[in-house]
Amino acid sequence: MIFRLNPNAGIPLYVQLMEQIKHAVETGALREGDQLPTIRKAAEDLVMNPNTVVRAYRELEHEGILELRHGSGAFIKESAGGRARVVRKAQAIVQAALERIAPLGLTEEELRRVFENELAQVRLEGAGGIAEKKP
Amino acid sequence: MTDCIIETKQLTKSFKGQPALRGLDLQVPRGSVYGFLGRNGAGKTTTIKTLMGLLRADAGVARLFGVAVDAADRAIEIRRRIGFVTEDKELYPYMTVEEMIRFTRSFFPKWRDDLAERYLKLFDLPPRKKIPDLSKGMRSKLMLLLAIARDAELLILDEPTDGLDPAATEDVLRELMAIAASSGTTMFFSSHQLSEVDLIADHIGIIDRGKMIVAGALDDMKAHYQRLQVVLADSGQLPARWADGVESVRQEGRVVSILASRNVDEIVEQARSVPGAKVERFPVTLKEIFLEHVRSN
Amino acid sequence: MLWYKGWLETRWKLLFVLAFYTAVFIIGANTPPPAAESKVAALMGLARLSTMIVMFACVMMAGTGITTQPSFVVTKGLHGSTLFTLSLPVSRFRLLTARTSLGWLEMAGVVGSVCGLWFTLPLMKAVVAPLDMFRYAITLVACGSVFYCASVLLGAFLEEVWRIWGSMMVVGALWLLCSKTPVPASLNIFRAMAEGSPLLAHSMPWVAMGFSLGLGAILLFAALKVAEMREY
Repeated sequence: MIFRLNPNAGIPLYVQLMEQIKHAVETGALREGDQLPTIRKAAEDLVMNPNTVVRAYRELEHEGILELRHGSGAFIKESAGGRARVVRKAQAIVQAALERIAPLGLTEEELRRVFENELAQVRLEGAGGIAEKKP
Repeated sequence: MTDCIIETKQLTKSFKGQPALRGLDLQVPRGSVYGFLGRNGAGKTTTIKTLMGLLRADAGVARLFGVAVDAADRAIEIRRRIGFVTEDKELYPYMTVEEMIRFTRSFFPKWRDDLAERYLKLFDLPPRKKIPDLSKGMRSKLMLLLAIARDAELLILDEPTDGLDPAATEDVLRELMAIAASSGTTMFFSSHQLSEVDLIADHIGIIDRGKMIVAGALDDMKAHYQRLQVVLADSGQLPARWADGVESVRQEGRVVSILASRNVDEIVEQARSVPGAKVERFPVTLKEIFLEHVRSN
Repeated sequence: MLWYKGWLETRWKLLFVLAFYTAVFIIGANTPPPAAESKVAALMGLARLSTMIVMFACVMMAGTGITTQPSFVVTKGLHGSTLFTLSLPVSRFRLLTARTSLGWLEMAGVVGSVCGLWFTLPLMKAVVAPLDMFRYAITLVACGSVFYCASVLLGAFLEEVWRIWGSMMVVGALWLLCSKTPVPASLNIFRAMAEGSPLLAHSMPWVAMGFSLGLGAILLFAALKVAEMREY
C-alpha cells in the first residue's frame, strides 16, 4: 500500500512517507483505528533509515493523524478522518480553481510551478491560515 | 558533543610522498547510519584501514569507542566489538562457507548462532561451497553475515553493495535497515551509490582529496540546501557579493543557478532585488550536494 | 581455530614435500649405491643429502606468516583476506606464532619421516643404530631451526616467491661462511649435521643445536617486530 520512496524527488523522505500515509487515510485505504507497520517493518520493507520512519510517525502524531501507543505501535487516530474531511474540502476548492485556469492552456509543469511559487511566497510573507506545522 | 563511536581529528597519511589523507575530521554518532562518500581515490578506504589498524596515520588522532586506535593494549577488545567488511570481499580460498563461519565464530564470545543461521538461509549461501566458487555477490553477503553474527556494536563496511546486482543490493540494504531498527548498531559505510545512501543514511560525510568537505545530519542538509534558479532580464546584473550560505553560482546566458546551504531567504531577497529577475526555488538531492561540493573543491 | 586455518593452508604443501621425498627415496633405494669405500663415506653421503632435505623442508614450510597464502607457492601481491585476518580480535603475535609453530612441527615431521625412511634401507640398518638415527633426526630439526626462522623473517615482508629465493641465498651464504671462514667447530651448524652428528660422532652437538635454536629465536623475534610494524 505504501510505495517505495524516491530519494531523487528532492522532497525529504519523511515528508514523502507522511504524504503517502495521509493519502491512504484520505482515500480510505487506512481507516480510523488501523495499525501502521512497526518502525522496524517499515524500515525493512521500504529499505529506508528507521529514523526517517520515526520522524514521519512523530510528525503525523503532531498533526493529529495518528497516535503512538506505547508498546503497541502506531494507530490512525479517530479524528484523523476529520482532518481528512478538511483536506477533501480543500481538494474541492483546488479542483474548482483548476477548472477556471484550464482555458489559459498552461502545461502541468507550469501549473505546478505557479502553485509552488505562490506557496513559497505565502510562507515567506507569513500569511495566516497556511501553517507549516500544526500549532 | 554527542557520543561519537568513531572520531578522527586532523588525520594525516601519505604513501611514498603522495598525500592520501590531509587532516581528516570525522565524527560518527553512536547509533547512526553514516554514509561516507567520495570519489575514487578520495581517501575512503585509507580512512577505513586506518580506523581498523591496518595502516598507521602519520599525524592526527583516530578513536573508536573513545579509545585511540593505536592503543595496543585495547586493540583486541575493540576489534571484538566491530564487524568489518573489506573492499575486495576476499576470504580464505581454501575454506568452505561453513568453515569460514566456524573459524570466525571461534573469536567472538558473543557470536549469535541464530543470526548466522538466519542469514545463511536468507542470503541463500550454500554451506559446503568453497569460497573461490562463490560469486562476488555471495562473498559480499557471506562477509556481511560474518560481520553481523558476531553481534557487533559497530559495523564498518567498505562499499558493501559494490558489484552486487540490484536484487542482492536490495537484500543487503533491507537487512541492514532491519538491524538498524532493532538493535541500534552503528553503521559506517562507504558507497558510490548516492541514491541508496539517500534512503538509508541519517548522517553523511563527503571526503575529497583527503579532507572532509561536508558532513552532518542528512535531513538537516536537505532541509537547508536549496537550489535557486534566477532568470535575469537582459539588463540584469548579479550582486557583486552574495550573502553567506551561497555554495556556488553558475551562469549560462541569462540563467543563473545558485546552490545555497543556508540563509536561503536572505539570498532569495538578494536575487529578487535585481531588477527584472525571476527567482524560483528547488529542493536539492544528495547527488546535487555531492557533485556540487566535489566539483568546486 | 588458527591452527586449523594454518593446516588447511599448508596441508597440500606438506603432502607434496613428503611425496617428493618418498619418490626420491624409492628411486634412490632402487639404485645400487656406489661402492662405499667405508661406512663413513656412506654416512657422509647420507648426512649431506639429509642436510639438503632439511633446508628444503625449512624453506617450504616456513610460509608467509600473518598474510594469507592462497595457493601452493606463487602469490601475486597481498591477498585481500589478510585484511580480514587482521581485523579479527587476535594479536599479530598470536597469528604469527600459531602459523610459525605449525610450520615448524611440519618441518620436524618431514625430517622425522625422512629419517624413518632412511632407516628402512638395509644398508643403513647395518651401519646406523636406531638410537643414533633418532638422535640424528633431533639434531637435524634443531640445527635446521635457524634456517626455518630465517625464512619466517623473510616471509614477514617478502612475497612468497622472493621469500623462497631469499631463503636459498641465506642458506648458501651461511654455508659459504661456515666452510670458508674459521668458524669454531662447535658452532658450525653444517658440521653438526654431518661430521659432528650422532651418525658419525655418536654424540649430540649440543652447542651447535643450542646456537641454532637461540639464533632462531632472535630471528623470530625480529619477524614478529616486522609483522607488527608493517602496514597492510
